Amino acid sequence: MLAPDPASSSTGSEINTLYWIALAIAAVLILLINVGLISMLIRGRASKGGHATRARARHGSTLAVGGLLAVLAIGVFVVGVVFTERAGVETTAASAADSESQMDGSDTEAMAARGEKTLRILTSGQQWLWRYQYPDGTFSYYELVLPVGQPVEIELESTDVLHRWWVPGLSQKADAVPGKTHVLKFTPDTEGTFEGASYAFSGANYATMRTVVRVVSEDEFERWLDEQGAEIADAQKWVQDEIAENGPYGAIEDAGDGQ
Amino acid sequence: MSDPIRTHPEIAVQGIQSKRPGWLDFATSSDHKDVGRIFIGAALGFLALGVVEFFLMRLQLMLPDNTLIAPVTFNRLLSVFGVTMTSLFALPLAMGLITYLLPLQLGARSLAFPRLSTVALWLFLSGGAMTYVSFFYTPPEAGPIALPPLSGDLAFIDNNGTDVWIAAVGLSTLGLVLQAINVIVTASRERAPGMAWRRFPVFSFSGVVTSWLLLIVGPAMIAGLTMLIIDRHYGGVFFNAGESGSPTYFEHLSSIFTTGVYLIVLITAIGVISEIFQTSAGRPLANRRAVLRSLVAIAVLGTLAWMQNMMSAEIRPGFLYAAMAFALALIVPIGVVIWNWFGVLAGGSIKMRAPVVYAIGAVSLLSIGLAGEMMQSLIPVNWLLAGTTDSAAGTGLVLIGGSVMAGFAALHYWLPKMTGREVGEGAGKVVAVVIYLSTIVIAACFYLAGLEGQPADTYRFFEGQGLDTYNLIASIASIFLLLGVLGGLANLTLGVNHGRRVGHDPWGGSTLEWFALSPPPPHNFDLVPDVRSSEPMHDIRRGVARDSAEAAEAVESPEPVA
Repeated sequence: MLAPDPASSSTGSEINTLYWIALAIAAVLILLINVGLISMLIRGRASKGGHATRARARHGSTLAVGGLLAVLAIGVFVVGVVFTERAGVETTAASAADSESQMDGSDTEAMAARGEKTLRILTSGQQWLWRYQYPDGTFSYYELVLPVGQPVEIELESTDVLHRWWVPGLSQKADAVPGKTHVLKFTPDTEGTFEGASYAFSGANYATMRTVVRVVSEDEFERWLDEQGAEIADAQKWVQDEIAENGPYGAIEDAGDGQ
Repeated sequence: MSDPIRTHPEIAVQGIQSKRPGWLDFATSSDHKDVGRIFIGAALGFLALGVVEFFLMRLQLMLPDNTLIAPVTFNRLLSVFGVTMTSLFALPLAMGLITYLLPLQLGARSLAFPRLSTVALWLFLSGGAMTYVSFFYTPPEAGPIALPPLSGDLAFIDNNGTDVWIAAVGLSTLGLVLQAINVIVTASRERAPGMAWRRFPVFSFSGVVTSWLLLIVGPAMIAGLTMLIIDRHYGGVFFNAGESGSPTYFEHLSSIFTTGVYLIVLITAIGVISEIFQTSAGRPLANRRAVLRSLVAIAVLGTLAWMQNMMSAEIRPGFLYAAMAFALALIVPIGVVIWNWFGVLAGGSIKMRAPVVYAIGAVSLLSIGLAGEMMQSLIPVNWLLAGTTDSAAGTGLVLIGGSVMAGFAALHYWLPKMTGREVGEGAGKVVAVVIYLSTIVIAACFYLAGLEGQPADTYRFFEGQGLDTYNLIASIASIFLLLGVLGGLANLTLGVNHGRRVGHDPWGGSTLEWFALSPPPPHNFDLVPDVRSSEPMHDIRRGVARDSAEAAEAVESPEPVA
């Protein structure tokens, strides 16, 4: 019940591991404070007889507690940094900022050397839909289809207001800000269908701005890409034909009549 | 029997009537006690409205795919709820308590700038009135924090609701900033002789710290709002990405402000809880100086951690690590404060009066909310939890713990000073338990729903996401929260008007406000005492006891008659 959605990428599994560590620390702190509070109250009420001992200043104990907590804070910070690095924070902002210079940089070369190729998906948030565009120009709305085991770079954009893209277990949350490109990288390692949504308030129909990521085998991905491309070409051809036949507004009027 | 000779001179002007009605005098008064009472009363009124709005939103989110409230109506409730709970309830309640109590605790006869406090009050009230009058035309609908471009461009929302939001938040923030200046000057110039900074009561010190904080974060928000309204109506491009502006600038400014609000709630609550624990245990904090320094540390470190609200934004990792470091550093000062509370409670014989029950509930809720905040300050965990209902749970726990529970604790504790009457103890304790339990249940449901991925601030959730049970239970618990808060407010009102009279010093507190009469006269003190320690009222009591013992001795053993 306390578990987050199971991880389906390395980023997701780092996030989930750190979540469990943080939850454990938080639970210990909550227990310490609340149990301490109750036991101190009981102790205080037990010593009812005499008037309150007005013993002052145990400066030493405050200092010791402060020191202990400082060690805890530093420890948690170090753990946080380690997991952030492993989940891949350095790839988000840095690569977006100098994406031009890194385009043919060491990253891509190293990947090429390992025989991997990165799939770049141009993802654009719009009120209240997500649009995904694949490298070959094919696009899809709402549903993103990815091949398993291949590194993905989501290039987040927004055409209107602030949106936030997140699919639990798969990636980090990332803002889609108009006028900027925010790149996030992950490698899906499990086949399946994952539900996500937008997590930044974007106006009237914000609640319906959801998305689905379907991770499939490489063959199926290629097949889906071809089918989707063919369907889009069909639809566009139909529109062109209608325009040629009935003029630019004919097709729209027909569609309106059809409803 | 009737003695024609009068011993006192008569005052000739006694019979002349005041030209203006009493309420007008009260509303335009520049006495810090009247201003403080209106601040507190208005804040509590807005709390009642806010909790009703929360309940309405929970009704809509009770069932999956519910269509009870239309999406736009829900967004309007949500936006007004956001303004209400922060700018119209939490901040003014804290500022009202500070305005009323700080001069009394410091032995001052008034605030430094009495008229300024009237201006501040009416700026805040006009912000509140503007928000609610907007229900007659178009209320704001751009979310609890109206972020551009949604709020900055008329292309997205072209009605004047967003302008209402901008003006209302701006006016009330401006009022509170003016009052913060007033408080800071009062604390440095008007205090009683001998009231050194190190002898400040913890609550007054927290008032000064929150005022400084407001002086930093308030103008940031006002600047942001000004730029936003220029963007909306006068062709500005501050937050327009297409014209070399950036929407992220506003996100920074508003994050600074919301973080400040959060910290002001927390710091004021620490001040209130410290006073109540010390008084009811009859024992001072073991290490006052560490607690006072912790308050300053919380204000500084917490504000510097504002970017922990924006960890999914495109910010360079170094800044995110800094935000995480500052947020985690808060563990130390908060822990030191709690440790000192333990010391007070362990050594004293606590009477479980209503303020103590409220205060303990507040500490418990705060501990859970702050632990949740600690989790979210870790960048990867933030990616997991931010923006979901879990982050709403964390904020709600701190707001309800720090403003509602600690606020009610403060009112139970100090209303006898303001009115001379006690607030009902039994009803108060029941209300405390109801609010505490319903808040825990709602927060737990929000947390679990957030882990399942339910976004915050949405007007509906969908069937088959595993969210049905959590939302249903949270909605049922919100009925109890509504009843608890409204019951608590009714109990306070009853206490103000019909409570038992308890005299001038019902708790035996150690601070100077208990030296004044209840309710205090316009000039607060007939005689401003010299302060010789951090517990001036105990010094006064000891002095009185010594004097009367000497007097009694003098009576018991009269001079032997020869």
